[in-house]
Amino acid sequence: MIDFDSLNEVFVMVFQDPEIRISAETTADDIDGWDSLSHVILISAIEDKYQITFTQREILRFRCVGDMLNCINQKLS
Amino acid sequence: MTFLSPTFLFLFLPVFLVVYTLFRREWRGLVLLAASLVFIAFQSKFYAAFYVGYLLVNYLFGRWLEKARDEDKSRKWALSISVMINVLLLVGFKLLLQYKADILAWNPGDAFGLNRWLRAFALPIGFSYTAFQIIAYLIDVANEITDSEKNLLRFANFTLMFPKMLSGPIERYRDIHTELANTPESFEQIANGLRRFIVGLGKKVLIADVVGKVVGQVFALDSPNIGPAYAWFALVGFAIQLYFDFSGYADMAIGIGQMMGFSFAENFNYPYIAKSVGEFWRRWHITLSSWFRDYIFLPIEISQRRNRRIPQQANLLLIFVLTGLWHGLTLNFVIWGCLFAMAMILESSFSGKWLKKLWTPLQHVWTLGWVLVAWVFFRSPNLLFAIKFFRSLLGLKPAVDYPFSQLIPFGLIDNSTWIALALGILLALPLGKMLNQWISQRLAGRPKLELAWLIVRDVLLMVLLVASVAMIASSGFTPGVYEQF
Repeated sequence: MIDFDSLNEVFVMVFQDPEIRISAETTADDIDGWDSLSHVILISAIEDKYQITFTQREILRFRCVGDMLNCINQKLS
Repeated sequence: MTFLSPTFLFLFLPVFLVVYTLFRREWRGLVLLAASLVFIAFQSKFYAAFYVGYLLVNYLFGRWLEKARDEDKSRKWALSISVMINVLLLVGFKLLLQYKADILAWNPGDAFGLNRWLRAFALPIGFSYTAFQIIAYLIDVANEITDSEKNLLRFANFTLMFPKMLSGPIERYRDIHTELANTPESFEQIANGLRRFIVGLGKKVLIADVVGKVVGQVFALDSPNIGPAYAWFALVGFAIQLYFDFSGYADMAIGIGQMMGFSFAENFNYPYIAKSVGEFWRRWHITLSSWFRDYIFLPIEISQRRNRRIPQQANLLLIFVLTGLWHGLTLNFVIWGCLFAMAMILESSFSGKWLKKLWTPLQHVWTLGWVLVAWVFFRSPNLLFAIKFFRSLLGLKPAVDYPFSQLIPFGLIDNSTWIALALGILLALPLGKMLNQWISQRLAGRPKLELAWLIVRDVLLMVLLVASVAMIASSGFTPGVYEQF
């Protein structure tokens, strides 16, 4: 099981902003630079860090960071 | 019938709102569907019948996709067939519209007995928006982002709801399905919807249409042999006309939606204040750009994240060429799309980092430069016109088209057009929003002053409504630019 602090590290690295603090409700609107181009980089970085692979449908279903975290934890368990 | 036609403003909309509000909730869906079909039938009774068939077929596609989505192969088949039929219909209609004059010229003897029909052919009202809405719905059902709609009446209203038929917004089923099932009602919502409608009407009639008259004259010339001052006036004027025309329509659609208890998606967010072309597209025609992002760009990017076969730049080019073609199957729209793709490719490379470090006014110059150049291709009737227009902008062409040959554009352009243009430029900035926030903060905790301000605001809106109606009565109205798509 991972928590928001662990996932936050990926966000800080991808968006190069140490001030980022994610929560379950965080969406692309809340983070400067989170557009469709960086979204794919973020997904790849998460997959690399946790050694998992999302399916296309899983990624397209993400509406907020909470959805991402739930999916990661499902895969890790 | 458009939002500005007297029949809509003084008969259809008031009668509909009264009937809709008087009916019990469980009957409102039927009232809305009947009104939407009447609205479409004003364009063509045939298309009203077409849309009934169209929604029935897509209702069945949605149900089929839900049943097929557990098995990968069946899901892919069901999705391919249902999306392909929608795409073929859209492309077929657009091709027919684009080439009907050529087909008529090629077949003057009317060999198939279809020329009369072809001559009268027009794109079914709102089909570009409706087809995109339906395609998104089908993909979402296949990806289990939403379940299919089982209630046929709700699905019919999702597909045909009249406020969003003319110029969108392109709604996602997942965002409004709860409202379709149980439309909330409140007096406050009706009042806010009416306010939003009046603002949209004013934007369209008092700014877009006034500026658009001179812009229209310039772009109706056979060849733009005009002075640079007029060329710049026409270009900046068109940028203002297009924004106020389209966002005015969006405000009216959102306002009518609010009066009925629906929260439609926002389509604009002060696009001309963007500091990059990427940001511009997150603020301009948001429901179309997010559609292309979510249903074409992201699936391609996601599927290739480990094994890239198509460069990201090619994907960006594809998206923007398709966005151009969505507007019309012409070379100008392809070039328009390529220009935006080029800007996006530059911004996603090292130039983007360089742009972010630039002095803010220069970031605006970069963005507006690309946008204005793109608008020349968007508005020009053909490529040759666009090229000549650029020469006029740069003063490289002898200005011979009287009266646009004059050096200074004061004689021809009357005061009302200048005022509308100046107002348009000012209101394209979020000044009104900031002023409203500032006043609300100042008046917080002072109920009497707050009430006074609300009364003043509503009186101003009434003045705006009267002025807009008076303008329609005296000068008529022009159809929305985005209605034709």
